[in-house]
Amino acid sequence: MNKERSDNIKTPVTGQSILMESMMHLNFWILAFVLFIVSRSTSGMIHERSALSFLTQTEAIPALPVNTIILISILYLCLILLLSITDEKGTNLVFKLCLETITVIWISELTGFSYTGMFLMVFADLMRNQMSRRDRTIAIIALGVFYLILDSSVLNFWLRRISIDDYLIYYSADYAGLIKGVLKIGSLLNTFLFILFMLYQIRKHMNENERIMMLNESLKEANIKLEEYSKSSALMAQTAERNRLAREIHDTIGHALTGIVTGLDACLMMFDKDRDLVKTQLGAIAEVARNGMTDVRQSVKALRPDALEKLPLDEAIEKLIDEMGRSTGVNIDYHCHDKLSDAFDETEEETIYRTIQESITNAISHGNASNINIEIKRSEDNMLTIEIKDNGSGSIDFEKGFGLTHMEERLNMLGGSLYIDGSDGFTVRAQMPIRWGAREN
Amino acid sequence: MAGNRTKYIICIFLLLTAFFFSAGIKDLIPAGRGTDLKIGVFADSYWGVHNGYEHRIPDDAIRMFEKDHPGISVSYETGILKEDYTEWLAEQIMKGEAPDVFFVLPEDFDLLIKMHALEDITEYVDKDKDFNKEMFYRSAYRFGSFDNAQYLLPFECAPELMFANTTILEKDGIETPPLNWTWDEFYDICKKVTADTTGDKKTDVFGTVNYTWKEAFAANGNRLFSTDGRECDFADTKITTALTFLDELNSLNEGNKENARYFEKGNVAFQPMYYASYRDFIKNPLRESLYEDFELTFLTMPAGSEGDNTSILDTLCIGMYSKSRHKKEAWDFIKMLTTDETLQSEIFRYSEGLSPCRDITERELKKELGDRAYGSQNINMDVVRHAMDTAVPKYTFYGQDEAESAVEYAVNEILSGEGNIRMEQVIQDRKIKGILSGE
Repeated sequence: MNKERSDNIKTPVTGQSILMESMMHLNFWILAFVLFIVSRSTSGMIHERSALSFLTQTEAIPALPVNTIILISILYLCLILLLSITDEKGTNLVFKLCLETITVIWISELTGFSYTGMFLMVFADLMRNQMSRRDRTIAIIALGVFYLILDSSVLNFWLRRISIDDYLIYYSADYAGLIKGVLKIGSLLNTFLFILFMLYQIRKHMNENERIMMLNESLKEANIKLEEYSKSSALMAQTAERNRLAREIHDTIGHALTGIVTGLDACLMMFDKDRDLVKTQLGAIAEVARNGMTDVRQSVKALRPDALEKLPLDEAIEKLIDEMGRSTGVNIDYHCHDKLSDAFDETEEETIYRTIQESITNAISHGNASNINIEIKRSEDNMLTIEIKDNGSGSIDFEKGFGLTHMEERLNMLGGSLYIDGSDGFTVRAQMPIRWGAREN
Repeated sequence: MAGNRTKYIICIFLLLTAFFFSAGIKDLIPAGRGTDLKIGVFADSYWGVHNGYEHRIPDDAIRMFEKDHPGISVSYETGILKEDYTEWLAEQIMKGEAPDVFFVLPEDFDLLIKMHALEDITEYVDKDKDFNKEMFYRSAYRFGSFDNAQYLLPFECAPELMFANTTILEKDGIETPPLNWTWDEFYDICKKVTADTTGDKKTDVFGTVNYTWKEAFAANGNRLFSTDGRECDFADTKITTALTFLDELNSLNEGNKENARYFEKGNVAFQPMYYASYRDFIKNPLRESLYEDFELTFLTMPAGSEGDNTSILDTLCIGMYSKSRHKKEAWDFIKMLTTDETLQSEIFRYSEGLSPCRDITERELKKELGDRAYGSQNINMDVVRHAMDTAVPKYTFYGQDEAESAVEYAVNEILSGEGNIRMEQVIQDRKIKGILSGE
């Protein structure tokens, strides 16, 4: 799969770079040809005493061919270097394209706007780079306008430049036609290469889209599998928990009840014969029941979340937040304005703990939040408010799942309430009355 | 990424190199100890005279200049004929070896302007304290300006004047015409002097010779061509008047064509002539016998009915190449060549024109004419002054000679034909326009 993918990307790029290189070669030869004609006809005109008629026609002083050749060589080298810089982004890319455009305009100015085909290379370079749709449109329009202005001889109307056509008067009509034909073929070939380049570009885009679609498909499959897996693992956990409960019940309440039942049976039999013994026996049964109670209590304790069991509520919550934050990379801010430990009974502590735990889980898994803010404070009327707010996607229409329903039930049992808002991120606000803390204060 | 940065640096370096190269930074580097100023001159005389003084004035100028400017050497290419000069200049320009200072044939002026080959010297003219443009005759100086900018300074010039045979005039009791004389007076005198003195029924004294459409159009205030030489106004009514006048003038000699008219032999009262041709005549020992039997003087050109006493002025100028690397030195050289007293007086000895500098010309002319004292010298000087200050240029655009031959043909057609002048004018106007637009 991996290999196939990399092949998909690589093939068009190689094709494109071959085309780009061909365009560089072709443009080089066309420019060389133009310069050859210019210098050939210049020296020819000087030797054959037709310099005056040339100047009478052009009404401008031509640049020395040697100078033009040196300048164009420097500029073309610069253009090739610029075109060889690939994978640029943002400002760098804009800067690079600007430099390329300047160079190309300059080169075509030096040829008297006789040849402007280098522009297609800049176009091609623009197309092969990653850009936002808007930027690309602007760049294409700008380049297109430049190209049109340069290629049509509009500019020559104001800026009198000596073009190849002026130099062609040196040649007989036949030769001039031939030279023009060669130039035309060159520029057509250049256009053809550009079209091929664009075809590659389109193919590359299509491949990319296809690849993205395939990836999407497999992602969906993986998601479904994951969901199934999480369902089954929940089921397994449930079963394990049930087994544990059964075992606990069997070991504690079952054991105690068995003892109590057996003891009580013995008491029943002995009730008329020896009341004193029954008394002693009942004492023993009470002891068993009490022990059973202790066992049950211990079992219940064992079923509580680990952190709550070992730590005070404050620290447990902090530990939870710290662990969640570290394992998911989400930033969680926690502000608690009161001391929570020793203010609540176990049920209340567990409700608080579970509310926070469930809300963070929801924010991360459903809301894709990157920032969660948790605030716990006590209001004047002795109500504890827990607010969990995230910057995730939120949801206006949501259905309360198991977690939220359970949370609400627990709060209601303690005389509290739950408020949920999914319009700006997701906000969970839980309120419950404080009973012990009220006394303390 | 580091590779990309290197590439960017190289690119920017290359672009800067290209920029400085095209901006001509190599020209800014001092060219070593000596400066070589190149000048463009032609070997023969501008006035078409073989006088044996090839390069005499430029040589003297160079000697003086090099003495005043140590470290600067001035050189020129010898042996270029006037007829090849423009082509030679074009070749030098294309080779990138154009001289810093060069003589400009008046016909080439607008071509060089269009090519941007001439440096605008307005700033030098205005700022140089040693230079005063008032020392030049106005027309001569004005010739070198274009679009309110000065490009050339006049080196030498020759106005066309009306030369008069005073012997003939005096014989008929005719007074020398005043400065502001007109076509009517001109015609009357011509009519009066035309006579058969030998009694062979053939006219042997004539009114005028060589008074052509060029003189007539100028006198009637019509420039005919636009300054760029692309338009012409041959159908203008001023042209009609001029043509009618020429027709009348010609009719004076109608049927009397057996005897040739030679002003220099003394049988013609008036002939318009460039001063240079006159000097050629009086200085040439072979022609000394001519002009011997009669007295002559020169006058302003007669004013047309709708124009002024306008002469035509032929001016040889000197200008600076726009891409010269030694503009300061070039200006000094131009200034010296056009304003130095010694050099400008040499024109009267080694050339045929007049100096465009008023004082020098008046002084030298007095000397020259003093040898052949005729007429009142004061009048002669007024004539020169008037002509030089109000003259119109002989050439205004490149290719004027071809255009003029088309006009010449048209004028001959009209004058020799019997048709209505106005009608003919419109027909010929179209033809000339066709030729001007390059058909």
